[in-house]
Amino acid sequence: MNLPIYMDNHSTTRVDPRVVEEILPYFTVHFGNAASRNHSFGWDADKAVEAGRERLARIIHADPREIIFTSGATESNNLALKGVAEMYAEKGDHIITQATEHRSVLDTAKRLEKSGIRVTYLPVDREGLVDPEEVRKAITDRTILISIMLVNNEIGVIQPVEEIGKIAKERGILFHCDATQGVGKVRVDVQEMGIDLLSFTAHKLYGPKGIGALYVRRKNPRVRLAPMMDGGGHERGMRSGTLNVPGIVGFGKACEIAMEVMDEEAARLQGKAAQRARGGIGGCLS
Amino acid sequence: MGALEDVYLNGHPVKRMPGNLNLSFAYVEGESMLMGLREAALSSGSACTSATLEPSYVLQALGIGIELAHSSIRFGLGRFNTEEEVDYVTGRVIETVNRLREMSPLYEMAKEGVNLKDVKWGKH
Repeated sequence: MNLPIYMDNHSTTRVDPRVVEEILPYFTVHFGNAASRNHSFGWDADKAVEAGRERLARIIHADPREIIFTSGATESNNLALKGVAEMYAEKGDHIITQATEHRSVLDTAKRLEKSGIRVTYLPVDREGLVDPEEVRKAITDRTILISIMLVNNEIGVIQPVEEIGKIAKERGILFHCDATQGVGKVRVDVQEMGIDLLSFTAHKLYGPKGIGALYVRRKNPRVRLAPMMDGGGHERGMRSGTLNVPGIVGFGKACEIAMEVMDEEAARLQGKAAQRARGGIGGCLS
Repeated sequence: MGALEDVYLNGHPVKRMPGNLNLSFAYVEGESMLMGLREAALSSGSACTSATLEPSYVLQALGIGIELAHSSIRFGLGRFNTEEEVDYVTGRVIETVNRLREMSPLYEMAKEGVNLKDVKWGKH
């Protein structure tokens, strides 16, 4: 056993050696710009990006065309909230979120409040859960977005996202879910959960830092976003900037591995390990 | 292995992600625990900046008191952790908590049956 022992996997994770192996040729051999249309270096890079996009789509049950690459979940959360607030300004000016969201959602919401958006921050109960009925009650005819996380980064609780998605659909309001801690660890299905926008990132699931994604629904409804980054019109105009090809390749591989091992890993972590820690440390956890 | 008393699980007991364990160890300050446990990389529920030590806003949203919020530790198990590591860290956490509690006057008072909420603190 090597010391120190890393047991802070909600902060970040070690990159899986299989991911590293797949990334490396994209620095020195297939180093092309995925937007270069006139030569094989560009075509190779583009092919790798599209293969990555497919792997990301699979882990959340989406269409590859619905994946927008970003620099990480903080950017994805910013793009979702600010992009919707600006694009749907005529439809309304009210956002619903909750108290234990990640700072990148709460601080973005606070920033939006300064520009006239009204934000409802719902409370959680003693166990850290949001009551979907509270979400329903908070909806007004000016509500344009509900943003509720899947898994909390500190206490690990899983919010009733599917029920909230259903309410959002009934009322025709867009639903954003910050699934940064959940993807690759628990089942995520944007169809069943009624999610229109979903943030996630590679470094929480044994992939590299600096690459994230935002799922943006294309059908029922087609979600439109005002971009925050202007430029070459990459990523369907929603996020300009040369694509991080090695990062995307690594993110894709990380998703593929996570899908393969998810059930087995969940059983392992919930089983002996968790019981030993819980039972050993606190004999009578109240 | 002797289990500890006065340990509380933060967050729903079942509706949670595998690998996450967030515990509050009453009468022990989380940051002190981590200082005594340098061979394990864990996270405390206090946001520590050079000037202030803020208890986690997430734990506060659950209605957990400031003392217990400051006493919390997040264990984040992952793909590369082994059972041997879990056992080692578990043992070290118990040792560290016991040692810090032995040095804590608050813990001593609580053990003697003093309700800490009724204590009249002197003015400085």
